Amino acid sequence: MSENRLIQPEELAALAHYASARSLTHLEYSDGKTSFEMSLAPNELAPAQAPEQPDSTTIPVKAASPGHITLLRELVPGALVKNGEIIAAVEAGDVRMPIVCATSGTVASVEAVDQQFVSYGTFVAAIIPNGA
Amino acid sequence: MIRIVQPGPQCTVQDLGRKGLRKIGVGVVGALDTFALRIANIMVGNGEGAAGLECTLGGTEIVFEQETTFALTGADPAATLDGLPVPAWWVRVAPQGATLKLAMPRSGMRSYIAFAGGLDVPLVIGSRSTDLKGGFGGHNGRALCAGDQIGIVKTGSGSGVQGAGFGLAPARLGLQPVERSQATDVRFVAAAEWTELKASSRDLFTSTDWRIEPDSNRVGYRFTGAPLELARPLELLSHGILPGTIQLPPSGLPMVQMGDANTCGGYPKLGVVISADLPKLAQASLGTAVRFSECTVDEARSAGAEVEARLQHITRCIDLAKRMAA
Repeated sequence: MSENRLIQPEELAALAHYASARSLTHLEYSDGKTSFEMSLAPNELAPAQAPEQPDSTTIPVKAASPGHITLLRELVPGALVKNGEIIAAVEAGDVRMPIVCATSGTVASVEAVDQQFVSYGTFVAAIIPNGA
Repeated sequence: MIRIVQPGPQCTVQDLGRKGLRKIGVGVVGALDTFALRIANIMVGNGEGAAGLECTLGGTEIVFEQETTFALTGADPAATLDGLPVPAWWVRVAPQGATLKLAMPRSGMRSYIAFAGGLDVPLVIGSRSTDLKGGFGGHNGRALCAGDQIGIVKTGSGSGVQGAGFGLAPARLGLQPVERSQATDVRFVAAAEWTELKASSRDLFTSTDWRIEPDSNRVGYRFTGAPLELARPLELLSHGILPGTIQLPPSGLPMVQMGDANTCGGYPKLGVVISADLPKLAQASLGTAVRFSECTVDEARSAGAEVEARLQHITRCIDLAKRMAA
C-alpha cells in the first residue's frame, strides 16, 4: 500500500496547479485509511503559467500531471525518439501517467531527472523534430 | 479481432477458470496468476473474469485488426507496440493494424493481456478458459497457433482509456515478480499426511530452498532437493486434490499441483499452498528457488483478505487514473 506522501509544500502546490488547470476548486482524497479535503484559495485559482519554451525550433515534452517522474528509457541529448513514444511516466500516488513524445526526432535537451517531483506542465525534454 | 502472428512457447485463452466441477472430473484451469488477469481486466473496464491471453515466457506477437484498448500485466515482457515500448502494468489503445510484441520476461513467467470487452470465445462448461488436457474451452481447446484469429466482444460503455493510457506503479504496489536470483516464499497449510513425514523431513521441507524443475508446467511444479522420507510406507486410495496441493511421490521430491491440476490423485499430501500465494508461485521461474513455510488456516484466510483489499485499492487507483486522464 502506498504511504501518504502528500506532505511536501511543492506537492501541494502542484496539486493546486493541477486542479486549477481543470477549474477544480475542491479536492477530496480517501484510500480507506487516510482522507483529506483541499479547498483552493482564490489566488491559487489562476491558470497554471505556460512554461517557457527553451527553443522555438524544438517541440516540448511536458508532464501532464503532478508526481515523481520515472524515466522509462535512456533520455540524453542526441537520443532518437518516436512520435507517440512513452518516454517517462509520472507516478501520481500508485498510478503512472504517461509522458508522450508528440513528434519523432532527436532529444535536444533533458530538463527533468529521474524521481524528480514535477508539476503539471513541467518541461521534461525538448525534441528537434525530424526534418527541422 | 486479433490475429496471432507468433504464439510463443505457450499462449492460451484464460479467464478465472471452472469452479465447483472437480467432483465430475473437470479441472479448474484458468489463469495461473489470477491477480494479474483480474487487474488487467479492471484496467480495460471489463469484469474481473473476462477472457484474456496468458503468455508464457514471451515470444508472442499479435496484430490488432481493429482499434482496441488492451492492458498488459504480470511478468514484464519488454513489450512493444509498433516498435514503441509498452511499460509493464499499463493500459493503452492500440490503433487498427498495430503489432504488439512480447519478449522473454527478465523475471516472472507469465504475462497477461486483457482486451476491452474480453476475448470472444465460446463459454464451455461455465468458462472460456482453455483446458489443455481435456482439449476444450478457449480457442479450439488448444494453445494458440500462428494465424489464429480471435474476436473481441463489443463494448457499449467503452473502456475509459484514451491514447497512451496510464499504468500502475509496480514497485509501490508490490506487483513485480520475484527476481530470478531470489527465492520465492510460499505459505502452505498442512494436509492429512504432513505428520506422516519423518520429523527431520518436515524440518528439511521448511528450512531448505527447493528448485523448480524444468519439466514443470501448468499441471504441476516439480521440485529438486534432498528427498523427503515418510515415517512409514503409505498406500492411499485416490482422493480429490486441488490447485495448490503439495504431493509427495515415491521419489521423495515434492510437487505442487497448479491451475491445470488433476482432480484426484493418490500420493500423500503434505499440504496445500494458500490461494493468496498461488499467483506468486505461478510467476516463479523454472530453475529458481522456492521456500515453503507453514501457516494456519486463519493466517491463510487473512492473506486472502489482504489480496482482496489490495485489489480494491488498485481498483480505486485505476478509477482515479481514468478520471485524471479524462
